[in-house]
Amino acid sequence: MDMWLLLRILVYIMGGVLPFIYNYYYVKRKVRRGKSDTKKTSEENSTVVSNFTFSSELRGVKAEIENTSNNSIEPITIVSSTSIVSPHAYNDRGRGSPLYVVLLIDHNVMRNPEALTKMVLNVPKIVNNIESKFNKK
Amino acid sequence: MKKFRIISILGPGLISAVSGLEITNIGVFTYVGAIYGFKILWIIVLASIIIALLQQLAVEVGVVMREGVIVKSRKIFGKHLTLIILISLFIANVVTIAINIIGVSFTLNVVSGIPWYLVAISFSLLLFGLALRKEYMYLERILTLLSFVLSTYIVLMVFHLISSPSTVIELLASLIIPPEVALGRQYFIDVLAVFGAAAAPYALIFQTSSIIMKGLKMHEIPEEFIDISVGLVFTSLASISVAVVAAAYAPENTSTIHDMILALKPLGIIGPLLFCIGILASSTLAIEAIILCNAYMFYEYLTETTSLKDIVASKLYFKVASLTILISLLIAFAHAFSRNIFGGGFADLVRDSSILISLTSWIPALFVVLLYWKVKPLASSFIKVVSALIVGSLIVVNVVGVLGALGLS
Repeated sequence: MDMWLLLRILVYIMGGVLPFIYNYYYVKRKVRRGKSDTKKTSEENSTVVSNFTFSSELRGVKAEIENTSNNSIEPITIVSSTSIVSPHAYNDRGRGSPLYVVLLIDHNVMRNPEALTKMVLNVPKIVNNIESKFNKK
Repeated sequence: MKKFRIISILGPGLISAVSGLEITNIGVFTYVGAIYGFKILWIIVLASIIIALLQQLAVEVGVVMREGVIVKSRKIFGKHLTLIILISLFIANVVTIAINIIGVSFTLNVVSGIPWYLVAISFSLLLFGLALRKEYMYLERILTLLSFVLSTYIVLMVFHLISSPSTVIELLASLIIPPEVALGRQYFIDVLAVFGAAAAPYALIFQTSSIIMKGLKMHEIPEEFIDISVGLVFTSLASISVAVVAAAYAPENTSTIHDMILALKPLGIIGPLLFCIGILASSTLAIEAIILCNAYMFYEYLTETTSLKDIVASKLYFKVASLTILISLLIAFAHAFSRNIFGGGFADLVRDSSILISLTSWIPALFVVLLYWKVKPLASSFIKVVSALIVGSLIVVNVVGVLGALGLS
């Protein structure tokens, strides 16, 4: 086969067509995997939150909790856990290590469903702020 | 519903590809089409694909880094190196504007007989007035619609292929298997001109910044890539149609703007009129976009922020717009008078300018590739290597080509 023709075809395919198509499918696959990872993370979070039990015994405040459990703990609907959509939530951390946000909640806040809901709903905002600060640096 | 969705994707794609045909592209593609026929088509397609690949990388850089190319380069590579991109882009931009001013002036001169320098000055004043208006959404739509008359090239290509069906196979074969061409200094220079005409260096910078301003999320990248692919198909179609029409109807030694208009001779007296309207509208659109890009680059460099609204409202916008138009007009006059002294037609002028644009356009491309190497979550090792090889070899080819054009190699 004519070497010059082969070289032209090679330049045509390797220099343009192949990388263009490859990059499209590569990014598509990465993004899809990222999405499923986020979904998985979200489901895991949801399970964690559903199974959440307040260990009041450790703090010795059993009585207080029992008193407030009917009107405070029950309405805390974090069962619909917030899935944090962030570029850092997947991809650069790999499949096995998605982003987890650990909330350290004060006992008083725990009794206040409104404050707790507000706090949980603010998590994505806080994460975004941290990210943008991180990016700026 | 699916049909409507396809139309909603393809319609704007076709319009933007056709309105993107300004005098630089038409001049170079007519010139190479008339000389090489179908043998140069694969180079046009290759150049368009490479630009599209670089656009993909620019999108990824924008989404992951959340900062414009200029801002990010300044932070990573320092302000002195970034100034090189800025200067190279500014040169490419003012040369593109100058060619458009000359193209419009010469076209109106051929059609109406008005001295070209009077048209050049009046056209520059019009551009300045439009730039000062800042917001001209309706006018932009009208200009886009007017520039759509350049789709005449696509219609003529289809007409030509129907009238001689044997050329269809020849055309497809030349697009799939790169045909044999006698290699030489001239061919090399003409290939560079094609790359210069296909490349819009400012588009790479705009691509990243528009992604940031749109707030594109990572999961939306594939959709953006589809837009780029649609753009690639239509841009290639529009570019190929100019070369095919030139191969079929333009004189082989195309050198003046009159020869370029002759490529539309099957349309009779309407041909020159459509050419005139299309060129005037598409050049105005392109120049206004380039002026905005120049202001944008300097604003990003000086303030390290990426916001289009702030730029248009800033004092810098007025300064950059007036400076850009003034320098472009001076270059246009210098070009035109040097051709009078040293000889050579409009085709030579467009070709030489495209080579210069090609040379300068690979500097922002290099920076986009370097930034892509730092995009951790999405960068693929294969694309990293290939993109580096592409930009590396294009820089070498450009330097050698320019030396060749200057008669130094």
